[in-house]
Amino acid sequence: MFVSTSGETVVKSELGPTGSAPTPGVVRSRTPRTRGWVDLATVRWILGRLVFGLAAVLIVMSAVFLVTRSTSDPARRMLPLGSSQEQIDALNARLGLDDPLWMQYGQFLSDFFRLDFGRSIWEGRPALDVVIDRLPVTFALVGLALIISIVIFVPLGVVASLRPGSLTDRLVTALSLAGLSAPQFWLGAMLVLVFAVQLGWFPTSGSGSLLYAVLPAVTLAFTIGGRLAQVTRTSFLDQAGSPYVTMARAKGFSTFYILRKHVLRNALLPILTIASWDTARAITGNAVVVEVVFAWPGFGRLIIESVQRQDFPVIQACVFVGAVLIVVINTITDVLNRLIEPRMES
Amino acid sequence: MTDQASAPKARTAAVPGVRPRSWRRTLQRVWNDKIVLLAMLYLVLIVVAALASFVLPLESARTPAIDQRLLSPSLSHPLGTDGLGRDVLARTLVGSRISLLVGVAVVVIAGVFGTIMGVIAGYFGGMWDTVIMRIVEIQLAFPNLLLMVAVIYFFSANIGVLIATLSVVSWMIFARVVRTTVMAVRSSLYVRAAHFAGCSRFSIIRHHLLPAVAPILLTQAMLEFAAIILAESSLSFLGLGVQPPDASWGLMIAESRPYLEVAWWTVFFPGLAIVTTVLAANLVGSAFRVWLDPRQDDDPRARAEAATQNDAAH
Repeated sequence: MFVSTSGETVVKSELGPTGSAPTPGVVRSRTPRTRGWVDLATVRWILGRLVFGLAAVLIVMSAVFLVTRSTSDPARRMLPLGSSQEQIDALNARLGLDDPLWMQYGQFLSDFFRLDFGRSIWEGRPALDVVIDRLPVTFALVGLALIISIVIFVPLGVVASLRPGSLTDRLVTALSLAGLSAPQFWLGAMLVLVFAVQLGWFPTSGSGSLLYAVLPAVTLAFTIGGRLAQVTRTSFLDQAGSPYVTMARAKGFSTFYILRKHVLRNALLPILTIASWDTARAITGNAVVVEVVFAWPGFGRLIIESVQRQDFPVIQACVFVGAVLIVVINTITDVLNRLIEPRMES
Repeated sequence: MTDQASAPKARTAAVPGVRPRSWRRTLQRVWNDKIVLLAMLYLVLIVVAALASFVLPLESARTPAIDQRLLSPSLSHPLGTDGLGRDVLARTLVGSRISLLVGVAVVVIAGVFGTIMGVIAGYFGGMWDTVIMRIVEIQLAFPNLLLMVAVIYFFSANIGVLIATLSVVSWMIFARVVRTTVMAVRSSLYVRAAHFAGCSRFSIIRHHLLPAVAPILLTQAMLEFAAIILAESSLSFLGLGVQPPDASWGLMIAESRPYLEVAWWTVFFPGLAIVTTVLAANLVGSAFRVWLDPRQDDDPRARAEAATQNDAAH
């Protein structure tokens, strides 16, 4: 897999503390950090990522376009049930659905680049505005879930990695796997049953004070955190086998000191990468389900409401915003990864 | 098993890290690890239960009985009855059919298509590789759930659309793992030897590449099966998957959610069926992954050893 094509290899002394697993073929930037830490190749690579991201969003939206236009009668789908044939024809003419497909696609592209997704049928405002207004509420929910995951599940992963195979390790592994295996809508319902209905500590659903956010955030944290605990454990175990840890142990440093000073720094990058990827995935995936369960007035609930209201422009804008979020978060993660760790290639 | 039986497989062991542990040793470890053994038995049980639901007299799963609404678990209704007086146990059994059907169908369709793409990308390389991996990369940037919501909304939900949509968004994982393995095996000595001995490309793929890919494919299929069951239940819960009067675990929970506070069993048991099935598939899948790839082993020494072997091989 890692065959060096250019024949260049990494100079051992440049490797830094990890030393154990060099990736031949990927040559560390020769320019000293003091003289501009972003070289031309990196700039070109970042530009490439941006173009790629734009292309990905464009392809997602084109897929939606094709699917919606390939079905027999989009106008009938958008109008309320029982609309007359004249109304359907009128909407077809107004939306330009009578035109040939390539003309429609041209119109679609020009709308796309002007970020014009039409007006929400329900609210009468531009669809994109409707979607963007809902984002902060979702970000608050996912942010809280992320904080819970980092504060609770990452330390659990570290503890599990200290003694692989021990009872603690097995419990943590079981907990994270169970969290990943439970459907969010069921987990949420069970938390409501215990903590809202039986104990009455939290409200069952809705939004308002921070209390309303606790149960949905905990529900979401089981997925994000479950993955984080697993990645943390693997990542720390990876480092535990490295020669530099053996060396540090031989020097007599305490476990805590080694973890904090050596292992954490090397293990952090994969953990952060997975955390940000999963956050992007959660916003456009599990958060949708959680928001429906807890009546959380965010982005995810909007798309389900729009399906029920047959509000097509908003559905389209939701898919667009979701694709942009994933691409932006992934690109930022990739770029940061590359800047922090020049040895890593994409 | 004798040496003779495992002889053809020994050839593929030339690439460390790809296929270093035999099936026999894996089976031995399944036997030793009782949790994984239990998980496998449970999966078998679920499949048997789903098949049995075709022959068992389960009229109570479909026929509403207004005088028997929301009965708590008892001898005549072991898991209680739901809001329409239907037996929860019977409905859970009937629901397993669709959940398993969707899971298996999507894994097979996505697995076969993904494997073909992965072999083409990994073995032929060049332009094929670039194009296929670009598509994979772009698809990985898709907001899958949102996209599925939009697509299913337009096609109106039914099982065929559900299976097709889920397959379209999950073949990439298979393509990726297959490509990585094929690329590693392609440059190995025995494949080059076969090439110079005059074997056709098809024959090399058939006899050398696919056997090397099989274990990793099986692992991935198991994990993906778990993910698909979860996805199907989420979509059905949102009203975009299986439609009433059919039964699926996710749909049962959606239908019973209004009764959560008065009849917990209507929500709890279908959910328990999802969790246990997904958990069992995940357990088996991740156990296979660790056993087939020593780099994933818990013992740091085994991992370090595997890593050095791998470096030395290239």
